[in-house]
Amino acid sequence: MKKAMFFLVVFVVMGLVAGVGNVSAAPYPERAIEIIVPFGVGGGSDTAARAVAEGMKPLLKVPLVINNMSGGGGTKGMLYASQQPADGYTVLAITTSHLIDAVKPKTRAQLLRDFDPIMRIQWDTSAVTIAGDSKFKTLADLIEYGKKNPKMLKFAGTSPGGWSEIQTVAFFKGVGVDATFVPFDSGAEIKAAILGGHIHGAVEELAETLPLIEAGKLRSLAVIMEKRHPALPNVPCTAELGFNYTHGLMRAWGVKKGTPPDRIQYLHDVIKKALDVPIYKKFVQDNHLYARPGYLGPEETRKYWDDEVKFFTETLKTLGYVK
Amino acid sequence: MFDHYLNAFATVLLPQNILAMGLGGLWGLLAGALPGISTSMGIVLLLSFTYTLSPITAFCMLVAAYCGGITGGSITSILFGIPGEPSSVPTVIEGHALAKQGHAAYALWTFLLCSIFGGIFSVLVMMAATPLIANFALRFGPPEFFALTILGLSVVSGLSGGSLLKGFLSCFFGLFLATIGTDGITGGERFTFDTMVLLGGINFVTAMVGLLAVSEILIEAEEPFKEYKGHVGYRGMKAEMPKFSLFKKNWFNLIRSPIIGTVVGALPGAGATIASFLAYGEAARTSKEPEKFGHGAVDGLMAAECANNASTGGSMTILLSLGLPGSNTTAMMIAAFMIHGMQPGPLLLSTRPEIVYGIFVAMLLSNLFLLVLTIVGIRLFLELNRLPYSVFSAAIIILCVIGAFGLQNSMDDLFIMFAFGIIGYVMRKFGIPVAPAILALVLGDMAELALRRSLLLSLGDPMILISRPISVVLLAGAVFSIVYPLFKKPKMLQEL
Repeated sequence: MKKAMFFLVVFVVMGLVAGVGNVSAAPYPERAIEIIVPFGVGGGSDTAARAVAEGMKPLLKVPLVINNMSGGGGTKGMLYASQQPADGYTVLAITTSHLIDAVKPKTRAQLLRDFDPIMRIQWDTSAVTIAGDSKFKTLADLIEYGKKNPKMLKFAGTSPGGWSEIQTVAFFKGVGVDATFVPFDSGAEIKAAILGGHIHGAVEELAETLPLIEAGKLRSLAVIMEKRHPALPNVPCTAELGFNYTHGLMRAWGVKKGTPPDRIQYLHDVIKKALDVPIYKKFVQDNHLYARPGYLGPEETRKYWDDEVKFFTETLKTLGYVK
Repeated sequence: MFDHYLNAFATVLLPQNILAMGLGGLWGLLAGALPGISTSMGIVLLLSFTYTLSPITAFCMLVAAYCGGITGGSITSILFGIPGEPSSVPTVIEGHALAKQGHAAYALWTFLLCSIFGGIFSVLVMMAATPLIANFALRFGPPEFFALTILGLSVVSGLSGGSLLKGFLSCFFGLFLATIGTDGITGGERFTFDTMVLLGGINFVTAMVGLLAVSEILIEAEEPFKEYKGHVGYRGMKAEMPKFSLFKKNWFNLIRSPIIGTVVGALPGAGATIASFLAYGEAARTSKEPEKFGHGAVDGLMAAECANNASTGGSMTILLSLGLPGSNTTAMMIAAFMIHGMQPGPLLLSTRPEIVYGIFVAMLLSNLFLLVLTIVGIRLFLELNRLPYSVFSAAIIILCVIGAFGLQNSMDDLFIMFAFGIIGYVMRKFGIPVAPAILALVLGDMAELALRRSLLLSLGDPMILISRPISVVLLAGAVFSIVYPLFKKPKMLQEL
């Protein structure tokens, strides 16, 4: 009995030593990687993250766990991710709203300061959309009316002080129109308000409104992009109309600052491969994200973030949200 | 069109589709009945199983789960007094009161028959008049929404029990709670004290569970080792079957409530909650025994359940005709359409008629399936009523904790739930009804946003609220239902 006990102890100790040896030389990743989606289940960020994760799963030997941590317009999940160790096991799904938060002074986690980008994954396209039976036939009509009647042009959006308001106001400011922004709770309410004639239109992501545009219930006056959108070849883009405004909603993934570069590189390579998997390609097709390349490498993403934050700072200043 | 329906029936009645509806309905009932899993979460979990199914089978399953979820929520509401969704609050108030008087089976029968009736009614309306409802729903802009929420709030006088003063006290407390969190128009923070916890506002599910369920257990806990009241005169399903005369007496209620449910269910952003409160309030206002409300009024239960389930039809109408989700749950349905390569919108009816008509028929049949499933299932639930209250209440607290935590996997919600449990306890001790506070918390936010949106649209001119026909009618109704009880019962006027 004693002998057996002795061998047991020896084996356990040996096992431990071997185990410790393994840890120091352990290849990354050796345990589950957690992806923090700072928005609720079923939303735009969530479905996008799940589509990427589906593509990654076959390429990874470790499980991939999606954790929806909604609250505070995406800030709660970001705060959580910034408090985890910088070991590459916690990945944050980032959207443009985090870039906007980076401008506001009162944030406890700040994207540019606390996170390193892995890559930008998607770059969506917005469109200026009005009711199908609207009296405005072209963007020029709309702008002319807006210039003659300050504040009378009423456009809907979702997040006051967030991306939706910024893209609406920045667009109209760029064309010299003083429009009224009316925030609603969801895209469905906005579309119902446009269809019912309660509001003139909205500057919204194109995929949201495309089925209603195809049915003629809504009409796009312009897509906000440097070229025409393949799904709407007859609608002009802002660049050809002479407006230097092509911003769009972006989604990226990042990790806490200080994560070893080889781990960021590893994640980058796996995600990049996942973007070629059929299930993700179908997602891109369904959501009409194919119009312009979403992918940007880590360094380009950082530069893109810096530029966007500069732009948002300007816009939020004119809106009076920051001083 | 007749051909389409014939084909749809033939497809939906295939064995695999019937099986799918049975499984979906069962899953929906479970998801709805278990606190912590909302109907929309139930649909999300089910979605991944539908990838490999044919589209129509997938929708049979999802539609049955949707209807089942709405129905299942009411079982928990009646037996345990835990509302799963804000739309179940009237069911908790009246149904749970009946259960505590020993008439759980009676309440369950009434709820079941009414909710299935409401569901079928709305599907039939939807089959006949999809474009009509959709067009009517679109006429609701911010001013109409404001009027609708004010009409919903005016139900307070019906919910107040004896004292209007205490009812309004509770209502204004709820309105205050609704202002906490991020301002929906300017994005500024209100009463958040620079914490993350309150940034998203008071979640009404946590507040509701605390105010209604936890506070009740605290009250009951004052009398130790009491047997559950249900065992007093506890009677089985057979003995408690409601008589036909009950439905005959309430025929107008039974027509009015599903209509309210179908129309309000079709409004994106309003949905089942306003529908069930409005129908409940109307029932309270026109009831021959208004003093019974709050203490197990069966006509109130009928109205709320009819409207609650009828909102499924309204919500699906606006989804199928315009691609707009009227509720969280139907938003999940959009994902289901995309998985199967379809885009819900105005074109769906012409491009994939077999799916749209199939969904109509599947909704109709799932309601019938649910009737059978629930009758079988309810017996099991009813047995719980025999437990001593000390055991029963512990189980309810556990369910409440799971429910509050499960919302966003956050301990904060749990603390907020218990805080509201204590607030509810104090309110009950002073005889202040808790229902108006919940109503005001849910509707206050909507009312405020609708009002401020209206004023943005009119550039600050309040005339917009009374210059449109629908909103005038609704606001007049609201004024009437607040003022009328004062003259009907002069005692209340003196008190004010």
